[in-house]
Amino acid sequence: MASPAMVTLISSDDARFEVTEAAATMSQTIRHMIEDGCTDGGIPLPNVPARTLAKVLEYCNKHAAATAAESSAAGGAAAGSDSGSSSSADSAGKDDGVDLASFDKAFVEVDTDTLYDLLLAANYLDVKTLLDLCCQKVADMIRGKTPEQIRQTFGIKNDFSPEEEEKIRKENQWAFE
Amino acid sequence: MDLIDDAATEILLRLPPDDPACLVRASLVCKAWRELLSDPAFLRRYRAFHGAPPLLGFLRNIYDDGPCARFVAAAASASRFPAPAFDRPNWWVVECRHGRALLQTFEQDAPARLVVWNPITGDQQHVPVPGYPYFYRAAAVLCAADGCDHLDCHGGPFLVVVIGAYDEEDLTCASVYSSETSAWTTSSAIQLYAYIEERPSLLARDALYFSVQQGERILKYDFVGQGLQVIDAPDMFVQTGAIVVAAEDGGLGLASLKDGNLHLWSWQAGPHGVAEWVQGRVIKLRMLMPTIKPLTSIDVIGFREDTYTIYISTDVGIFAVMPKSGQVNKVGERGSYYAIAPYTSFYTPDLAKGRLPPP
Repeated sequence: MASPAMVTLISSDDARFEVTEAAATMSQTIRHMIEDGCTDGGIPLPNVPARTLAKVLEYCNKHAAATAAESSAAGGAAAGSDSGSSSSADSAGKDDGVDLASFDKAFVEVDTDTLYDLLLAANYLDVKTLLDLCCQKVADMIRGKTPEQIRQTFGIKNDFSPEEEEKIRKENQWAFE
Repeated sequence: MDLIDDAATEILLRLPPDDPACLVRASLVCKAWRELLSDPAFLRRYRAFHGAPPLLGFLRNIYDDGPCARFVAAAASASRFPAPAFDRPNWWVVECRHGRALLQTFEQDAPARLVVWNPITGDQQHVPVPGYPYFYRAAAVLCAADGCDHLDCHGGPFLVVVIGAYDEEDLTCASVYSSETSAWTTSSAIQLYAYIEERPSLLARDALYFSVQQGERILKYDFVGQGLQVIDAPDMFVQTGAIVVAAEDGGLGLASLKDGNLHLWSWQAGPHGVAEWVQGRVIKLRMLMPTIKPLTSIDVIGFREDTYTIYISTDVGIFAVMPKSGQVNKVGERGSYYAIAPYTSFYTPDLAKGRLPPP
């Protein structure tokens, strides 16, 4: 079996990361750069620091590996369907799904600064599933919080005047009870 | 930390629709969020992102000293949106669809009327019942907007369909009222020697279906051919009774309970173009809901067309059963129910605006 194609990514603080092309191209931004042939000497990612890039690549490696395992399991199931081995391949695929879901859940159990850095990196690198995951996590954190708690958690400045704020509260009293 | 607009849009898009209060609280965080959460384009995108609206509550009929229509907030949405305090003697719930509820009045010294009510804004539109010499037997309401996704059509044009009898020989026909023309049109008649159940109708692919005589038969009104037709249920339902529900393929389905198991059937085109009943899933409810005591009664009391959900009444409350995933959620308290009309809608600020005090 040929060794997988590798690419080099360079973070904003000049750290170099060697990753498989399958993992790197989970980022649409990187995929386009590779397609355009801009890979000589490594792909510079001036908006992503090493600390965040390492974390994003942890996510991409895990998901790219799961995708590869899934497609080979599907191939194996199709080939072995007559010999009755499809059920075991099927359950292996299912375990991967559960495993990946718990990986995702644990992956975003981080402090808000890290979560926000991940969100921005996922947005810039255009890794859709990671962006979904981060945005959903932030939305889950917003649910059940008061406006003050939301501002405090995410460091957002209150730019309403006390009068404006009072007016909005009065109009929607039910939502603050 | 500085939330860029792009990310704020993606984040706020994911706030849960079954907790409308969190949309309001988020709009008080800062001006940028408030602007976004009151932008009609964003709110349309929000509804499209979530697809199916949440169950806000359901309407049911109670017979105490007389008929009475009542709105009950769903367990999950209770206190998360300002549920209308609706408890109306001499009104009767017919059904809910596309953000509207259809009710019938039984007021003394006044002719019967049909009322199309928007539980979110409180808006009511009265529709005169067409002049059948004998009686009207069933009715339905639906959005009339072309190509509508029914995520926010509550205020638009609608149709009311009434099934009525106009002759002692029990000739039955359908009349359709358009809110745009304020006029009725009537179909040709068929004979129907049977009663129509007082349950919400099913709208599936250009046709309405009504349960007839405990679900032993089904009355179909076809919007394309504008005609009525009777379909017999499979033989197993003659003893057990069934209700019309949405099948998983979006067509006509039937659901019946037998020995605590939910039997689902669907009406499908056969090999020679002739439609036939096909038996589908059998769901072992007592295994899915272990808190139900043995030997207590379980009833099928309603369904949702858009998510193929079936509502079950038990001794421990009302449950929503999703046949496809086997997922079960409690949505209401226990009670004596024959039928419920689930009310589903988004409660985004634009839809809630213009809300009138409860009637």
